Amino acid sequence: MLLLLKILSIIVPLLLSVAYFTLAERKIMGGIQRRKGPNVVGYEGLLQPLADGLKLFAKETILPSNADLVIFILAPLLTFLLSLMGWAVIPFGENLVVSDIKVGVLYLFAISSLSVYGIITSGWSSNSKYAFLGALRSTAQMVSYEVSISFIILCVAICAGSFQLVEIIRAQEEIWFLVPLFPIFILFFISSLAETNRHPFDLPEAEAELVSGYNVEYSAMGFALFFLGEYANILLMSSFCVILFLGGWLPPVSLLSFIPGSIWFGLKISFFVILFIWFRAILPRYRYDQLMSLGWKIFLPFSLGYLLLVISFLLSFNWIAW
Amino acid sequence: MSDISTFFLGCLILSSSFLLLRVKNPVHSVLLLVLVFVNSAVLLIGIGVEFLALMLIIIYVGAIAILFLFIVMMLDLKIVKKDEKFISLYSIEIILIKSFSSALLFLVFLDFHSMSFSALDTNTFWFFSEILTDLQCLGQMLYTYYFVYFLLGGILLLIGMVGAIVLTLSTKKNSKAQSVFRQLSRKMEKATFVAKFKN
Repeated sequence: MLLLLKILSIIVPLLLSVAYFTLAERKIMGGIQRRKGPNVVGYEGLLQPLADGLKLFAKETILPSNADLVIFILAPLLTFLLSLMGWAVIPFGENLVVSDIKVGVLYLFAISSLSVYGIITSGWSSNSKYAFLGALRSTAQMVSYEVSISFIILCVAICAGSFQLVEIIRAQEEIWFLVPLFPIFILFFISSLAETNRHPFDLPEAEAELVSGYNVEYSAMGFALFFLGEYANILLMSSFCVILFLGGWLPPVSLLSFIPGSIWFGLKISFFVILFIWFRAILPRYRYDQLMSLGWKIFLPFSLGYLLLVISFLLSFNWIAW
Repeated sequence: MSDISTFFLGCLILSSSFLLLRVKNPVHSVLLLVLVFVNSAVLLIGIGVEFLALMLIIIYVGAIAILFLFIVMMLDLKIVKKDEKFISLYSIEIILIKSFSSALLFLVFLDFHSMSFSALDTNTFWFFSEILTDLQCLGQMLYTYYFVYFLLGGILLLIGMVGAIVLTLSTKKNSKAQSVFRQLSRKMEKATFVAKFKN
């Protein structure tokens, strides 16, 4: 019973924040493009996400006649479930975590590598060219950027001396990893853009050639689940970034520690969310071969080399944490 | 982990691996393979080796099975129909399954814990496993006692990689691929010139 309450106390605020994430996206992009954004439903458009959700809920579910129905129905469920599962290990504040496992970083990484399956099975099972091509592009992109993400995570784990998320945050009490590991922080942020299929790497969705990628054939709740899963994944990646580089719940200066840690955590996540939206508004889309060569020829060698640099630095100054 | 949940997981693993062999659509059988991997990872978490379980998911499910799925999806395989060849294939399959499962049963009856496979004595292992976490324990064992095997494994992977590159690499001289460096290093003085015409 207590566990159920704990789970609900994470999922309900998460879904609310996903809803308001979409509103924030439309409002901020409106601001950047000098228009108002949604402002009709509710006060200044505050009820817009609820109206959107209701609209999707009331629509008819269309099942394509040649689709592989079981997989077609399971794929959005899988995406949505996996995007929720990652939140079980995220520490929101001091002692504010559902389960603090010893290999939390690896758990998050495993969840993000499993979430590829929702996309590739949805693309294959809808039996449509556009969905299939979108799914193949998206999967190839996610798998190739995961490689560089794993090396970046290893750098941070070696500096902190642990795979435990709470321990990684505690290791940043003196200084956030943002400062000594600044280059790979930028690398991690760009890789997380690619991992969540966001601009400028949103090739799977390329409206011009592929209509909208792997979820073309989905309507109503299937589409809504993909949408929720995608945005929850963006929030998860930003909180992962905050934990690895921006010191989680820690305040920037110890004078400000009277403000509770979860508020700092939320503020830092919002910073990344605004970055995600900002990049969507200002950057043009990459070409697919450019994306692949960026991932394999630049990010992978650089992060591998940086890992070696970090290890030899720590070894030569005898700073290894364990 | 209770016996009932272990039994349930074992049944799930066995039945999905049986279905993997019997299902007609190859994509379905790759997805069932993924199910087998994930269930075995859950089983490993149940007996307390989280690191190996997560590594199983990250490497086998997140990378290798994805590549299988890619290839099977792109090969455009037709669904297997029953014909004369099918029976011989079927009998080979039965022999393989039977020999594999009897080997497994043999291992179970042998009692795992009494087997020590190298010069290392098991007491050291249990000593490590009591004071360290499973990740630290694995690191201590792997880099202290088994580092030769570790390096050999790395060399094996390197050979595989080099082989794959050699098989696929072909340099065409008339390839029209654009080189970004050449494009960006073009200067106005070199690119433009005044042509002279003879009247």
